[in-house]
Parts: sequence; structure tokens; C-alpha cells
Amino acid sequence: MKEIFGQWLAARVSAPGMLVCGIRQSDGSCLTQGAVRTFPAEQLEKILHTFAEAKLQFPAESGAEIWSKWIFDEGQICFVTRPDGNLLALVVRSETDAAQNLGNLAGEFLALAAAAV
Amino acid sequence: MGLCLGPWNGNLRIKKIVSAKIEPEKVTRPSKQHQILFVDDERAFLETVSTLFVDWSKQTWKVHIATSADQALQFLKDQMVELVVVDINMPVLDGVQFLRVVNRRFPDLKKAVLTGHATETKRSECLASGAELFIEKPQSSDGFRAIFAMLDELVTWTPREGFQGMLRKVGLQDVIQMECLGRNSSVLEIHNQHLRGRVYIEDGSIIHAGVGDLTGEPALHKLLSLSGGSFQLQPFEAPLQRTIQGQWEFLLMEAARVRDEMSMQAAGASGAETAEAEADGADQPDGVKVVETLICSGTGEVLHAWQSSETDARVGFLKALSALSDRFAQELPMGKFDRVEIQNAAGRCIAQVHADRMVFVRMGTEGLPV
Repeated sequence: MKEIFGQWLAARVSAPGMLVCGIRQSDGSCLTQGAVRTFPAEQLEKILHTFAEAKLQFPAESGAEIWSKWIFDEGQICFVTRPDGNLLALVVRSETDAAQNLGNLAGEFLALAAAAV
Repeated sequence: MGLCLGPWNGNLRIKKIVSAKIEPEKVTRPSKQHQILFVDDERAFLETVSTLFVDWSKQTWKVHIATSADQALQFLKDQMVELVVVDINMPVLDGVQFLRVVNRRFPDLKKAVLTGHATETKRSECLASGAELFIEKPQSSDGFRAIFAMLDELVTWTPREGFQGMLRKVGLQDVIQMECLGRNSSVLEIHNQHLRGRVYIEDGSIIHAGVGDLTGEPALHKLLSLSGGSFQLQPFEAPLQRTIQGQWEFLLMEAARVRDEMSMQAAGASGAETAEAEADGADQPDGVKVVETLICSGTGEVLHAWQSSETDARVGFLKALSALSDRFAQELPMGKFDRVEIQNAAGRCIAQVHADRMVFVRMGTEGLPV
């Protein structure tokens, strides 16, 4: 699993507009890939943990797969939660190829999960 | 927007707001101050706005007060003022009459009405008498903040820059939102050098929009995507047809989304329409309906709820989003947070979290996305 996720992240981090991406696995460990110096992978790891922990306080979810896009002035963070608890985060610059492609990447991650399971 | 939806409650509320006033900061007085005259027969209210607004403006406002129309007219004769803010219920010469006199004598003076006794008739009279804004007196500190932002935008407006009347912080979308929140009826006339259009709002619902050959939602999207021009609020008159249905909150959200897409296309950053539709997993499928909306102030005071049976939970959720977005922004240089779009098998929701307002819109027919 870890290898599959690692390869998938490494292949996606170089997409135009991708700043940093990572996966928090269901055991709490993180895999991250940074593309630019100003968006260090360590910061994304913190964000992944923060999101995973904060999510527990939200109202109950009715579906196992959940997709959220957080839109800021200068960028977007996309979180995708897999049924087995693996969590993907993609940080992209707004108005770039990567931002346009978030839906496809989320779909790939979910399909990757199905293949891995 | 923290706008008042009910009647003005008088001194009790004033005391509460004054007690919540922030500590004065050490500021250097700017070389140029905007001269603003407030006219109201309630001295306590005048003292409140004077204290709060001067403070919030960081001394860029010089607030003058007058407790009668006579006193105000005399002041206007003697001193240059950029904006006059008037209550409509005053003895002897009421606010509407005062506006007409001011409009005739000082046509370049900007005028706003701030009243605790708003009616549709008064509103139409005031707009027809030259007022640029007609606002209900707020009941909360948030409400005062929103009013201050609108008036500040009005007073700093200069022609030939963006939208006349209000721009940047308080733009077209904010004015429409204000009209809808206040359940007002009006016609917003929008024009620039290339086109002219209208948005019709009746009892707080957007019922029609038209620009060129476009009508309905496409026209609304077109008008809200304009980067500059002029707009004026006119008294309501019924359109020939009604082309827009649905909740204004969703319409404005959708317009914002369309505007974002249009700006991306203009920047050449997007591909063909099909690719774009495939790329955005949050795209709204045909037939999806808004099933819940909630609007509250930046501090969680509920301003409007529609089919929201769990308002406390929703407000809590919005606050959690706000706190999370703050933490994300601390970790990564992403700029100001605007909104989050959430989707799962049960449906989709959009939550917008700004300093002065939080909005929750849920679409879908079953279950809760979050």
C-alpha cells in the first residue's frame, strides 16, 4: 500500500500548479511530496493530521467517501477520504492545470484504493 | 452581512454595543479625513455611531452629528461634507423631505438612510429622493461592522473606478445580498460602456435579470461577472416576466462559481468545456436542488435559516471550518479563505466563511453530506 501510494504521489507532484501533496494512511503515518520550497511537505503533514483529527468533531457523515475542496485566494486544498480511512491532500495553485484536474486526481485516488484493496 | 432583520431596539442595545467596543488603538491621525454627517434625533445613537465608526475607521473619518434637519442644513451650508447619513423619522422636517432638499442644494453629496423604521414605501421614496443606500439600523456589533463597511465603501468611492457607488469590499453581490436579507423589493440597474442590464428583487427574492439577449440566470451570471461599471438601486417595478426561481443564496453562490470559471477561461487557464466539466468533481449535476440554507454573522448569530432544522449544529460546523481554515492558512501561504465545497454520495454542500458572515448551502435530496 505504502509503495503504491508513494509512486502515485511521486507521479502527480510534478503536475503544473501542484504545490505539495500527501497521504495520511489509516495507521496515522504520512507520505508527502513537495514541489516548491514555500510549501514544505512537513507543513502538509501537519495539515493532514489536523484535518483528520478535526473531522471527528463534524456531524456524522452519511457516506464513506468524502471529497472536499478548500478554496483560498491563492490556492486550494483538496481532501479525499477513502473508505478504509486513508486520506489524500492535494495543495494546488488556483487557476492552474492541477486545480482544473482535482476531480480526476480524486477519482484516481479512490480507484487506486479499490485496486490496492 | 450582519444586517438587522427586525426593529431597532433603542438605548438598551446601544449600551450593549458600546460595552463591546474594542479598546482604542494608538493611531496617527491621517492627513485627510472623510467628513461625514449623521442626522438623527436620537442623540444616544449618534454618539454610539460616532464613537464606533471613528474608531473602526482608524481616524480616517471625521464624524459630525446633527439632531435635526435644520441643524444639518445649516452645517452643510458652512462645511464641506462628503456623505450624509440620515434617519427618516425626525420631527418637523422628516428624512425624506430632508433628502429632497439636500439633493437639490447639494447634488454631489452622497446620501444614505439609516433607519429603525423601514417600510417598502419609505425605501422607495428615499431611493427616488437621491439616497444611494437605504439600510436598517443594526442590532448587533456585527451589524454595525457591516454598516460601517458599506458606508466606508460609499464615502471612498470615486467615479470611473470599478463600480460607482460601491466596489471592492462591498460590490454588486453584497448589495444584492443586502437587499435579499432585508426582504426588500428593488431594481438594480447595472451598466458599463458596452451593456446595460437589470436585476429585479421582490420581497428578498431575485425574480428576474436581463442583459442584452440574455434573461434569467445566464443574465444574472453575466452581470455579476462584470469587472467594472455603474449600478443604481431603483424603486421596484414588476418585470414583464419572471425568469428566476429558487433561493437567492444558491443563485449568488452559483454566480460566484460561474464567475470563477469565466475568469479562468479569460486567463486562458482552462481547457475545453468538456474537459473542465470532467475535471471538476464538484460540478452540480442537473436536477440537484438546494435543500437547506443558513446564513449567520461572523460570530454565529443566525440571520437567515431555510429548512435548517439543526441550526446549532450547522453554526458549530461553520465555526469548526473557520478554525480549521485559519490553521491551514497558518501552515501554508494560501491567502484569505473563501469557502469549502464538500461532496459525497448523499449530496453536496458549500460553506462560505468570511469575517463578517458565514453561509451554509446544502444540495441533494437525501442524507447529510456532512
